[in-house]
Amino acid sequence: MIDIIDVGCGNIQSLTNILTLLQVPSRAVNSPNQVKSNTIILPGVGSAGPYMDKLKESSLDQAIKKHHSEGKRIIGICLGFQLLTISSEEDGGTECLGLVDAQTEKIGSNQLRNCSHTGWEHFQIDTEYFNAAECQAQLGLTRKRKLKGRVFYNHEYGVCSTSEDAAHLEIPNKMYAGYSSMVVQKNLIGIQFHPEKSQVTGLNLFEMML
Amino acid sequence: MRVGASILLKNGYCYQSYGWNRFRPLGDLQTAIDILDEYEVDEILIVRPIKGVDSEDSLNIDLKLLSELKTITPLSFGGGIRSNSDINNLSGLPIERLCLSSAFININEGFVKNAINSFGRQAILACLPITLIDDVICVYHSEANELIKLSDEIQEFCMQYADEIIIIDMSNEGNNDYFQMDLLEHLKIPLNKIIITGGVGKNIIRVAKSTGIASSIIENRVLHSENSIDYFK
Repeated sequence: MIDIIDVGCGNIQSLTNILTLLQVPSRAVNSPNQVKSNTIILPGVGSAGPYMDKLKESSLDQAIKKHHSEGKRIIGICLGFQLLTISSEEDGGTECLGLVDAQTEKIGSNQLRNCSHTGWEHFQIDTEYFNAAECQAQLGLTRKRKLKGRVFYNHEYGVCSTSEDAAHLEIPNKMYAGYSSMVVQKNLIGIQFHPEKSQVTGLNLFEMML
Repeated sequence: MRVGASILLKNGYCYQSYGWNRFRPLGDLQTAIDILDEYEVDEILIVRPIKGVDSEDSLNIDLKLLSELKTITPLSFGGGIRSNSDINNLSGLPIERLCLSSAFININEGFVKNAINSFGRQAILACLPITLIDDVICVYHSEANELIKLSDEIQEFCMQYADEIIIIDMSNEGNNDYFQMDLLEHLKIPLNKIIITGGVGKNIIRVAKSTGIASSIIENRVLHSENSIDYFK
């Protein structure tokens, strides 16, 4: 069972759909006492300030931190990934969960106004990447060791990770150099793109991660 | 440049249309989406073609259908989203981007900011169905069901709050390769923020690629196998 954090933001149904395709049971949770599974997913469509406010109002922020301190798995997707960092520049500055030693910054803040990153990028990974960060798949959904394909991004803020404890993949596009595509740190997996909407590559990545 | 497909949706059924005036039923939405998933289109735009007053019942039918939709392709949705309660009803749906038209044409800052709070600014699309009348660019105001002049103020507002702007060539919607690229010369919006649709075909895609346009959305002719996305790409 996988718990998907539901605070009224985010495309919960997209995650449910892809997990159903993989025959992995999941449920949406909106209060701390519902968080009971070994893996939680923090989904990602929304704005950092209102999303964090809702996590705090429901005390889910504390439940997520407790889940992390118990060594259980957290997967943050897009905004959900950004909320795992220390803080975000979005909404005039937002204090985040602080589980990944990184900051979330506005993309290209010194360049054109309203710069964002929307589109498909090349993606390549192998299981060594997860192994190096001491992050093992738990459900054994695939024996695939290498994955190559394309993934879909839609974000205007990016994670700048400096943590030496984490394995990083940068967005493979010079325009977004320095921003993380994916960060893995033991039981934490942060993904900037939307694997749940990245077609076959997304499906295969979920199989490798879970 | 992304190459996507659009589907018109109304009262639970999807349609192919010509100039938004003649509608041809395409049947079940999930079947259409399954085909587009199989073709691996870059994105899917689902639009409710609302002219004038929308019915709450009709919107609810379409939202229920969306909530049951299964797809692994990025989805944008718009049409008839005009109140804060409509925005609340969208939460949790399998859509990544929200497409607003009347709100941008009315320069309704409070409503657009509420949408941004729920979806994030990166997820907000402004939709401007335009046409040229006596060398003046006009935009179709769906809530008022009339054409009005596309002012600099509207364009500036779109630039400020929308991540990308969908430009629909109203006169050529549904026709192959008739999108009037000249329309874009009348706009004050950078090409890399523009998504074009309405008469998009293979030649238009070739031209759009060379100009740096963000995305081209083909009307639902792409549902037919002989016009699959590989052909257009």
